[in-house]
Amino acid sequence: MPSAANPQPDENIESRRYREDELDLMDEIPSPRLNPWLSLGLLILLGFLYLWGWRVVLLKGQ
Amino acid sequence: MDTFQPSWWLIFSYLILMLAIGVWSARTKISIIEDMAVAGRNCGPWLIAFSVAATWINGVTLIGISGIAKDFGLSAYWAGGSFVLTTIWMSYYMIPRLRSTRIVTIPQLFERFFGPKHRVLSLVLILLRDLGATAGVMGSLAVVVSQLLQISLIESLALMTALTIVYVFLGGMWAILVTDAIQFVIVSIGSLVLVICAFMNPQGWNAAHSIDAPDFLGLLGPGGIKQVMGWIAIGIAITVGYQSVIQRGLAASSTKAARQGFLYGGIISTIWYIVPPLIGILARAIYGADIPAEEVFLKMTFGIAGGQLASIIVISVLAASMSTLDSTVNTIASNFTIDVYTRFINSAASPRAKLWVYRTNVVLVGVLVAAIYYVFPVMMELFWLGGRIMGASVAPTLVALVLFRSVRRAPHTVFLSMLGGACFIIVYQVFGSIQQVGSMVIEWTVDPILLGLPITILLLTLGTWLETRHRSNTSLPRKI
Repeated sequence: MPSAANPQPDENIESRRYREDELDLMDEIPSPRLNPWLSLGLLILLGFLYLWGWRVVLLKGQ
Repeated sequence: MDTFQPSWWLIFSYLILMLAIGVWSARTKISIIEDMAVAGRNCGPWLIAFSVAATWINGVTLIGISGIAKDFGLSAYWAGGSFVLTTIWMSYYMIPRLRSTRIVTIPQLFERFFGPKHRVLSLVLILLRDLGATAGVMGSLAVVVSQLLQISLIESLALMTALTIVYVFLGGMWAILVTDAIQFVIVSIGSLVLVICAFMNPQGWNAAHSIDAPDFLGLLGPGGIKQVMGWIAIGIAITVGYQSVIQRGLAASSTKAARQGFLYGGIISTIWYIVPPLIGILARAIYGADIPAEEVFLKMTFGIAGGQLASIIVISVLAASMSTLDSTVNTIASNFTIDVYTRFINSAASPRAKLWVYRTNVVLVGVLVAAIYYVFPVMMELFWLGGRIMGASVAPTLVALVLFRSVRRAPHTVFLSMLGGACFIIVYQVFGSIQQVGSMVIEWTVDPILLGLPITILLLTLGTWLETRHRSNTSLPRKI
């Protein structure tokens, strides 16, 4: 039985098409609980925070 | 520049090392095309991490973003920053799932879910981006080398094409991963040397805060929120569909190694990406606002660092560009071989024949991207023109495919969304409102991606609902 974690060896891979029962195999791989869009937003926010740190450094001068 | 005497032994040693790694990989690691494309899926996390970082840190980012920062200040960070932050995000939400499908290329995935028509469309859209981006990186490399050797652009393009493709030809992804790790170390040292030299310049750090431009050191910069949001949107969209980066995750020995590699590589690149904006800001402080954007990096290298330090920086630009160029050339060659030759021309070819077709494609791709840059030398925009098309078509559909069950059951929607998003961006880029055409970038009234991406997402959402509304058990998006 194929699974997302242990797929079958590549058989005639180039024209292979998933059957209906194989469409969701990748969902067996666990993802973080945090909403993906929220986590992306938080990462961008982190980028702004990092940039703000450099702004402080540059404005301070020597 | 006129008085600059490069350390030739250092430059030649570097190039010979790259070649030696190619020969070593060819002799010990390569036997089938999967070894060429995804290193036999057998790499550890740190090799993946350095390779991901080296792919994002390239000549376009060094030369291009430092040029942009001369005009846009600190906010130029976002011309590349969102790429690397999205890479961190992908380590958790996309790469593990994509690995589970055992694909080698993204078009392969579209065929597995929807059939050959989707594969062909996604292939064309991905190639639009990858060919443009690769040509842009090739251009940055050729510009530096032509100035260094005092040769013409076309001679420089020919030389760097030959040097880069030779180790990809021999060792494929294995050679790329190992050379990338070395190139990353060189780039880190070179760029650090330049920033330290610029900071130590009497007119550098001290003058940076007094630059006479509105909000130059602000988080949104002179371009304002519209410009920054455009950069962030295009960065996210390009990254999630960036095959060269995704293939690094597919090359990992395990899902854990892939996740760690992307996480570490993303963090390292996020920290490093402040370097080009700092170079641009300090260049403006030292040379004034009139310095041409495309000359910022070279002027800083030869004017501020100078002497033997400049040799280190020049090698770091070579390394930065080659580390990106090798991987994108390899990715396009994998598309030509797996998605075109093996799929549609000769699926019964022997493994050895496929391997040689792959290597031939590496050469063809190298020549093709050099030709593209020669006829269309707008370095940074090359990176983005095709990127917007892919970013508003394949990228959102790929993310939706990975995250939402219902999208996997909506073939017509996926096809039309990719086509619709791409057509809109193409039309907008041809007829859209351009503010100014610079030597590095084209400034748009509204960046095309800010309009194209919502249209594709809307098409995907509405279309999926219409196409799957009668399937009660699968019609709702999967909760993550």
